[in-house]
Amino acid sequence: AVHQELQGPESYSGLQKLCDKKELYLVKLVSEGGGGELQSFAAPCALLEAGLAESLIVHLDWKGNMIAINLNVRSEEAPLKGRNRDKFDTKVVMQSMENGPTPDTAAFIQKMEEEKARKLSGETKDNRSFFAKYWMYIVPVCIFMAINSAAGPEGGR
Amino acid sequence: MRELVVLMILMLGGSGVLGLYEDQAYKFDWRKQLIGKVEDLEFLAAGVDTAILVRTQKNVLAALDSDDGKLLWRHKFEDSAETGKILAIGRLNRNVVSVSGSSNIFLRLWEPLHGALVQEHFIKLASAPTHAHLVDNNLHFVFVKPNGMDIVTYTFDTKKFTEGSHKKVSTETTEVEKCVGLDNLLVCSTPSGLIYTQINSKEPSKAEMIPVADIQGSTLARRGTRIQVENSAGSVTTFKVENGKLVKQADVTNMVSECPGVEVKQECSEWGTDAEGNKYCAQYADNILTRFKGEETTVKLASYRGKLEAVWSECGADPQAYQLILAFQDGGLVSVTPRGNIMFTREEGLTSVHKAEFVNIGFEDKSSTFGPLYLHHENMFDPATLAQNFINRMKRHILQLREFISSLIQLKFLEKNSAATLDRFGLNKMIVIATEHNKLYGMESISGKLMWQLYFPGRFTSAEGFESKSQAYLLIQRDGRAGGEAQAVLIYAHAHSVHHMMTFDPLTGKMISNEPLNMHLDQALLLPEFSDHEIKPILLVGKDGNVAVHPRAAAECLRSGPPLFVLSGPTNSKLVGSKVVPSQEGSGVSLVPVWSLVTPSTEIVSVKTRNPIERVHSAGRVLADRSVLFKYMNPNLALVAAQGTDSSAKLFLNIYLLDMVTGKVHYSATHKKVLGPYHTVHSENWAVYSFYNEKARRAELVSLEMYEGKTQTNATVFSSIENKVIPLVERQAYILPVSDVRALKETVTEQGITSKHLLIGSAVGNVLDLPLHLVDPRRPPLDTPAGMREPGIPPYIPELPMPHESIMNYNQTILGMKDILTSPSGLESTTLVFVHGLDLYGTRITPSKGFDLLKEDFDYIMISAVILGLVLASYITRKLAQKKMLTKAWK
Repeated sequence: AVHQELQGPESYSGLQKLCDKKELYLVKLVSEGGGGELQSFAAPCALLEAGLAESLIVHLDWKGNMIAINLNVRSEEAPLKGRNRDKFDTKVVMQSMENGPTPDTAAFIQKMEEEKARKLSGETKDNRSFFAKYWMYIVPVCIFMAINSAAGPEGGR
Repeated sequence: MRELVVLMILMLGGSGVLGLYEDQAYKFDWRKQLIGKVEDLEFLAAGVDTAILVRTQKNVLAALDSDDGKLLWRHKFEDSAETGKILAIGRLNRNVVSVSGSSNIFLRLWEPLHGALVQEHFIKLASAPTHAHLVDNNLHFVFVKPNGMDIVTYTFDTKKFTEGSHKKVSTETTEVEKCVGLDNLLVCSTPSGLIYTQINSKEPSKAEMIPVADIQGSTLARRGTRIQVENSAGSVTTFKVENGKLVKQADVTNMVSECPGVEVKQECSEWGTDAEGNKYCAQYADNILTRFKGEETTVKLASYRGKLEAVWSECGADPQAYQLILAFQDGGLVSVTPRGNIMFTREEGLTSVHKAEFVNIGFEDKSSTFGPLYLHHENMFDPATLAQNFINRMKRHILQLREFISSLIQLKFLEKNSAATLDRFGLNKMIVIATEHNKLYGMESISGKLMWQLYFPGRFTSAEGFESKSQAYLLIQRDGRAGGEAQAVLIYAHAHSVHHMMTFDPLTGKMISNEPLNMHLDQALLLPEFSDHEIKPILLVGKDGNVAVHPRAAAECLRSGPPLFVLSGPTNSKLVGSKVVPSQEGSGVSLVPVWSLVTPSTEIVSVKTRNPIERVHSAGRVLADRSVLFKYMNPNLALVAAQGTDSSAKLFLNIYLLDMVTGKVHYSATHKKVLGPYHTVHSENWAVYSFYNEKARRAELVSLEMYEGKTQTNATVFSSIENKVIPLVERQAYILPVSDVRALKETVTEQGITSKHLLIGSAVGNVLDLPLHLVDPRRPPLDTPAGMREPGIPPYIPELPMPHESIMNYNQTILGMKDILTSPSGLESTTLVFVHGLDLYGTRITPSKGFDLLKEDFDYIMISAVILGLVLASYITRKLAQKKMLTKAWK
């Protein structure tokens, strides 16, 4: 359960003031289990524009420990929401760590095995058409014949 | 099969042939073979000449030519002290003996002329000995036990190895710091004085004690036939052996050596007092005094080298003709003749490079009146700037022409300049090196020649990780291109005081100032250049959270400039990002923490950000369907690696892609059952990291690439706070062809047009020059049809190739490699590379081949002859044609 409280000057006007002074809106997450504090921040002006719609991403490591929080402004949803000026609309997203990639040797080895098996079982079946297979022999013959037939009448004259 | 052939062709065609011709060897590169700071030295007669046998701190056994100090041979033992540390060296008949290891001892006999191994004996001891001592064919091991000392003696020759006697020695104290052997006497230093005992008698005995006030145990040394030790104020106490007893010699207070009657002295010219009130020598005299038979000679050293730490000498048949070898604090080894002339100098401090940086020399001579060549790229297309740049350029060319003509008249062009040579293409840069032996060096990158050196009284401990990096900071505030004097800062932990900041000129080595910082420094950061301030300011963060900006005037720029965020206080398992908040008045600056990353029970091993000088040329890449995938190029992104131990005591590695301004984690992954060393590189929109996979027993390299998608949000300015893009992270893992990676680096060029290569340094001593497209995570599966493949990317094969012609340093092995540095040159095609370790190696590489260079064997004569011939031919044919026309007209 996340319990959120706004500290410092009163919420909306406080944020307005931060926005005017070009300062940052800081969040601190204090875990009850004694896991320490985590901090993040957002630009107050953007937050005001978005009608206090924000999302808090909590990053976990593979053991389930919290490692970082990221506060994001949900500006893309702002027009859809009615502007409730004093209430934060916070979405909390838990993001866990993924396993790092490993070299994909299995697929490569399989590919090599297939290649080998094909080689052992003899030549691959060639299912191309007769012309596709032997065009390199047919075309020169055709050309030769064409030249011959073109030259033939001249020689006859 | 056919696919394989296609693949091969692709590989060959894609990576290009990187090798070089035989006659190009040694042309663009240089290598310095070093041995490390000398710990012990012995002269040996090898054939006609004398050679010098040394053992060094870097676990190297080497033989040097005694005349010119050239390396005859060397053997580098294992890096780890457990197996590689050389405990003792000696001689046995015609062979050289070395004893190395800790509890597993290797006794090796070597041939002195060429260093060939004659015999190897292996000894397994129950524990690591405190000291090993070689006397002829006896090897003594000393073990310090709670109830005294055990001495175990072995006898060996070229064939046999036999265990000899055990001996117990009872001592008053067991806090033994260092032991040395003098013939058959073993002398050890304790906090209250020296203890000594006979080493070769078999019966148990009691060590005798000679109290020495204020003793500095680590300075205990055997010098010739004496034993010398210093106290903390630096004065020398001398002992000699008389009838098996150690006797104090009150009349000898200088350093002595093997040759009788030769004494060496180094005066102290300035004393200092440390925080605890102890006196120490702050500055030694520049010259060394040698005394022989009451006659004093001054040895003038070209540069200040700190404390004289050891002296060895070789006496010829003539007592007047001795050779002195002096070892200094900075790792320098200097050989001196009796007349005080220097025979040779070896800079062995260069084997312990702590920090190194490339510094632009600039294109012009400082003394000339040419204006600065530095162009402001920010507003380059502004007509006023363009015009200004053009006028400047014309002026410069006219001046150059005038200079050239005047030099022609005065025949000045024949003169060679001794200062750092400036070249037209910026291929020569100054490499500034800070060593762990308290020395700064300036080295020409084109030749490896040392241009200057500067001593600093720093302190380096054997700490690891962040602790080790913070011992000294080398920050280049302004390089030689900007016009005006170049300036750099070295911030170091003073040996007897707080952190000091030394400001110097990185091109000439001239010290400008050396002042203490009035704070307990936690870290020092180089801030980016501000438009109205030509020197990059430095942000100093204290351990107590105090922050200062140097120079103070830069605080003004901080106020007016964009908000600045820094990574402050990286501790073992926490990163904190802070905003730099300058106070409204004055020069005060404070840090406000704004984000944090806590990695519980892991240790952050590296934080790698993009090279700040890097430029990226293309913002996207073309896919197979002709659409463009835009790169996510966040200059604030860092690759963070953290190591931890899981429940089964295996190591795991956590990887984060972290925005250093907002603290946003864009990607996080874990690799289990891994081993170090971990190497990370982050550049443009990609990052790679390598580790050893313990389960599969191979080194793996993981490649990550970040993309925005098919649309680009903001092409001109990137702001981490405003940017809401969540990058797509492409990832792929590869198997490295080298199992022990020592260094990983990417090439960098001036404009970023040239394709990138990865340089992978291995423990074997070679550097693999791998084109980046081979580790592209978008390499398609093998069975992808040709039409679907992206141009220029070969299909995925898990193993990376290692063709021999792409080994950057061909047969020039770089022993004990520690790191690789790259820097752009003035030519877009060329990257300068500097590799350091036990050896130093410098070269330049052209990842996309020398597209802006003429070939080495370009035939100038041929091309000018052809042009001349063509001009001549056209002239003649014109004449002929005219004649023909004329005759035709007459007809």
